[in-house]
Amino acid sequence: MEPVAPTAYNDTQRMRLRGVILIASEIIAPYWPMRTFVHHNPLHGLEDLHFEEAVRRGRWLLGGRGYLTNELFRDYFRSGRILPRQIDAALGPLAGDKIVTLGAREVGHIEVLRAHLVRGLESSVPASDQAALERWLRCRPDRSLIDALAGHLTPALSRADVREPAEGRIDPEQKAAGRSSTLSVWCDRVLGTQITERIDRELIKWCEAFLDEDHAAWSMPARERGFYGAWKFLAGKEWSPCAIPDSRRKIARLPLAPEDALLESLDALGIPPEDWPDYLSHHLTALPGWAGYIKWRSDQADYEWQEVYPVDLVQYLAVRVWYERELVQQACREELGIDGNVDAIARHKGGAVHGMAGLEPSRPQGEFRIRLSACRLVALAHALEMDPAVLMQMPPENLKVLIDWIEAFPESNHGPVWLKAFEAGYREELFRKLSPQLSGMRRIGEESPPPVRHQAQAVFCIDVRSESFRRNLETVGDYETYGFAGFFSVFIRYQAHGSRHETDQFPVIMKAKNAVREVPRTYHGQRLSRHRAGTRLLETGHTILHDLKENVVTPYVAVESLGWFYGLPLIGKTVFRAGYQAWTDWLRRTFVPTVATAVTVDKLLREEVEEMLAAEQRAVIRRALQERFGDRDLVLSLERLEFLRKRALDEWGDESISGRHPPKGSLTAEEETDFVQALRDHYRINMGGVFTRMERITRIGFTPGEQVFTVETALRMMGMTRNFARLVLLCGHASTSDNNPYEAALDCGACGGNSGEPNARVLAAMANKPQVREALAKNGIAVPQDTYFIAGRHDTTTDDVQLLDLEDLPHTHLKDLLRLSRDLEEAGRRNSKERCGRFPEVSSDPTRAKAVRETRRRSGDWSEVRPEWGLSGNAAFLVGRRELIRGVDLEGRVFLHSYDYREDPSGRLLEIVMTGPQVVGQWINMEHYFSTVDPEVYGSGSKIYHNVVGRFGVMSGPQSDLRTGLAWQTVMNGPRPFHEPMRLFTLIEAPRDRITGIIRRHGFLQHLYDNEWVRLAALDPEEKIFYDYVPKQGWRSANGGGTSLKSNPT
Amino acid sequence: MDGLTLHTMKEIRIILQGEHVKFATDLLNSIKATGYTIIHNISGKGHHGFHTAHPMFNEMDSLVMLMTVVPEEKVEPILAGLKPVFDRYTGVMFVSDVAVSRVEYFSGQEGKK
Repeated sequence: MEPVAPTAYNDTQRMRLRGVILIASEIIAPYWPMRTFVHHNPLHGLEDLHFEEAVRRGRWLLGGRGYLTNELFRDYFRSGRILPRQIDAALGPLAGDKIVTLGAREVGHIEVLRAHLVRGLESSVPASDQAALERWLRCRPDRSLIDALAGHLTPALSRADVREPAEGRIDPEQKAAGRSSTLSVWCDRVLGTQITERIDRELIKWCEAFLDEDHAAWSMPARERGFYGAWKFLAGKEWSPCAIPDSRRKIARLPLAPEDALLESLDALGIPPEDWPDYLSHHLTALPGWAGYIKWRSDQADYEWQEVYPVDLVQYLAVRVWYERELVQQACREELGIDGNVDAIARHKGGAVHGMAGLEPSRPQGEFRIRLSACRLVALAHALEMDPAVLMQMPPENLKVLIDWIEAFPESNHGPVWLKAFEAGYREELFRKLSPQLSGMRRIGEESPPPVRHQAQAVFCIDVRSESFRRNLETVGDYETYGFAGFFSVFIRYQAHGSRHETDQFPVIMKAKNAVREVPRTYHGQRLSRHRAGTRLLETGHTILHDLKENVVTPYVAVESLGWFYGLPLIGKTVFRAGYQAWTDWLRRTFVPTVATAVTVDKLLREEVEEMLAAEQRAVIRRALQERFGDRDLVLSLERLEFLRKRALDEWGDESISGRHPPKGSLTAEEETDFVQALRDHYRINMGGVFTRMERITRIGFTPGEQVFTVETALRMMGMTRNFARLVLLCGHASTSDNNPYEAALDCGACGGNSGEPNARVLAAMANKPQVREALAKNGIAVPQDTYFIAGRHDTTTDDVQLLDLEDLPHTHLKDLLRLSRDLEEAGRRNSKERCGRFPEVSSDPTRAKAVRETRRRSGDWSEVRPEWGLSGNAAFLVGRRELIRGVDLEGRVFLHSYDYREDPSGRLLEIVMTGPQVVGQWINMEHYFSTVDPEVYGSGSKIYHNVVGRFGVMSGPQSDLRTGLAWQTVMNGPRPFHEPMRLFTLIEAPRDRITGIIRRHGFLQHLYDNEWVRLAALDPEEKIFYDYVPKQGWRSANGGGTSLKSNPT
Repeated sequence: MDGLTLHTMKEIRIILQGEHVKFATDLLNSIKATGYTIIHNISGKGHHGFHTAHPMFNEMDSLVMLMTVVPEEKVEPILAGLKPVFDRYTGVMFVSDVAVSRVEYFSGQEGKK
């Protein structure tokens, strides 16, 4: 336990360390709090690598599978989901031309590969060493044949053994086995200690406590010092954490700056600087959930918790690597008598410690290999439907070729090939469904039939669930539906009525531009007071109950008195579900009547802003007075508050109006002066504070110019520029479920994991304004006088569509509204019936009434782990006109974005779609993909074990890594996948060179397509031919007729 | 007109992806740079080709320019911190001489918020 001499580190070293940590943290994806669950690609930081390369790296660092198991794929093959010709197409690039003669037959490379893929020749012989192989052979009937074959093979194979496996051919599986590259893991493996587990437990404990957001009954003190500072302060008082001797003095001696502490620990462990990125990556991937949340928090510019209690990965690593340094030192000293650093260990071991070296060779050698190969050849013969005895007659060299072919294609490499074949199946199916639509689609310049005015038009989100609803709506009546990203190009920070915090209603890849509030409509005055009183009562009730629950004494006194009361909801929600729900709804409506609200779309006038600011400041002063002088019976009248406010802002002199003898209920002159000074210093009632608040308040609303721009962009992007119906429905979506931490995952992803309601309301309000319509007409979009935009909210769990802001509807449209309401209900019923067919618990083909009951039940049942399938099953992203998909049953698996190529000659609108909504779709797709192929590493496991922690995430069990990704029940149906894990297939109906031009202008689009994270295809609207995008090369006609390579996009 | 002497300092301009701006500003804060200016949504041409400026729906894809004025001794740490970023991702950095009149404003110990 020698003390490390305190080294002075300079700024250059500290900053370089920060840069290294940024690179090391690429493997960790940021994790959004669950309140606004954001689907994202867990390997997002690796998108500049090819998909297969990134997946390998994920396997090495995180231990996560990148593909479904070979067994599952073989099941798909047997069930016909994957066809032999799709497999052959996928195997094509791997197969050479060589042919081997086996008896009367000529066997090509591709046949062998196909047999290996489909039958799994490696796993058909389940033996990892010679002894196991012998045991397996003992019960085989063809044992003698195998023995003979082995003898036959010996001359060919024993010569080849001398060759060392090249570095590049080391099985990725072995790389994964060697993922442990930190000293703590080395100690665990070699000395049998449990250091890594102890470090993980400590870090989980500290992270849980520090990152808590008001969920814990007792919150961690000293958090203002930052994660490292708080840990140093508190751990410095702990009695020997993890049994580290003399910990208090060691921690006290640690430097104040986390960078210095981390540099010290890395030096003590002796890690050379060029290894730091990988070494720190290993540390971060030990607890990728917590590291991901810390990464997200440190990326936020204005998250209150982060501003008050800062944390970042530098601090996290400083704490973590200190534990490793101390525990490794202790273990090495005790067990081996050496220091715990790389050089000492290397000397002791006589070789390198971390890195790829020192791993067991994967390839079987010698006698074992010969016998194993014999078994595999027999299995191959069976797979090729040949008599194995034929093998004995072949020269050993020929057989060796076969064995080489098999060994060069190990089962760990089968994943990518299966995936390609799997995806090909869906692509073929999609093209087959869309082809009949092509003849009816008009090109530029072609005459269209005279436009007929539709009954109504409806715009839904691009969400896959909208596809089935739109299809059902179009069968009910003459409706024209469109798809547009659910936030309707309205980037707002929204504050609902009665809510104290704001939500960002747009995809997380963007920033807020305007703010919008929900305010009560003025004519509801009396109801509003009842609403406010009721809400306050409810809140007080909640607070009392919550405090009671958390109080230490409660279990001793309150259980008998309150227990029966809690029994009511328990029995109600479990046994008398529907009745209990109706009763609680009635109670809520009576005590807290709903209040009609409107959204603030226009900018506020100057006087309104000033009054709003003054009201806010008065509320702050009132709270401050209650905090500081709560015991005194002060008069808190409006004049007093206003006076104090003006004084704080220096608008009145330093005179107190109370004079020398203040009346009862007010402060003395000195108290007042002190209080006013405190207002200026602590409560920000000063000119600087005014400036900041004004800036925020004036962000509320949109200027007329902004309103026109928003509406025009939205309409042009969809191609909705003429032939407007009397009613245009803008439908956002949300979901309803009970007892579901993943509730936000079912809400609108395009709205940042929130309900799409506010955005629909704002766009509808804007589009109905006369000034906006005038400006639109000047710009070429003539909206008829009698067209009315109405906002709606589609509940994707119950298929209920609620129409909003009906108070503004002109009476001329009442009939249209009634008809629309009725049709939406009918469409909802049909959609519920279709969706129920996909729930495994529901008997096939329920009646419509039964389906509606079922969906309603699922939204209110607190035991339901799967209220709806949500986005599971998503497979493709279609950008194009309605004529392409009208009436086509896409099974609710496709993102649909409306786009008319004739309206967008410059390609600007298509660029917006490809760089924005498509990315949202890709993130959703990747999240589902990885959560399906590896539910334990990339997904969050079963919901049954989830515990909500800190109000932002879940753990499995009482203490574990923060779980990221989607739960088992969301993507799996029992043991088998429900969601078919495939990479997103994007099909764009636009001229190819327009698409190519856009790709060329955006580096990250090149990454997506050239590195095969997304498969791209185009439908050339002039030629009416489908083209596939070949990475890095260009377009190839999907009809297979030769490669017509167009311009090179790089 | 006294008190108008000019002092030399270094101006650093950094152009990088929107995704990494937070990292760069955190770096400048740790090194106690007194302040910086951010210009969003710039366009231009570089090694990776031409980049347009209107990421209407995707901030992360945008290019941002950061400008800061620091005393000479802070240039090396900033370079050291940003080097790993520029090795992997799009971005450039220029350092030039600049003169300021209020030297205490730019080299104070605590940065203004």
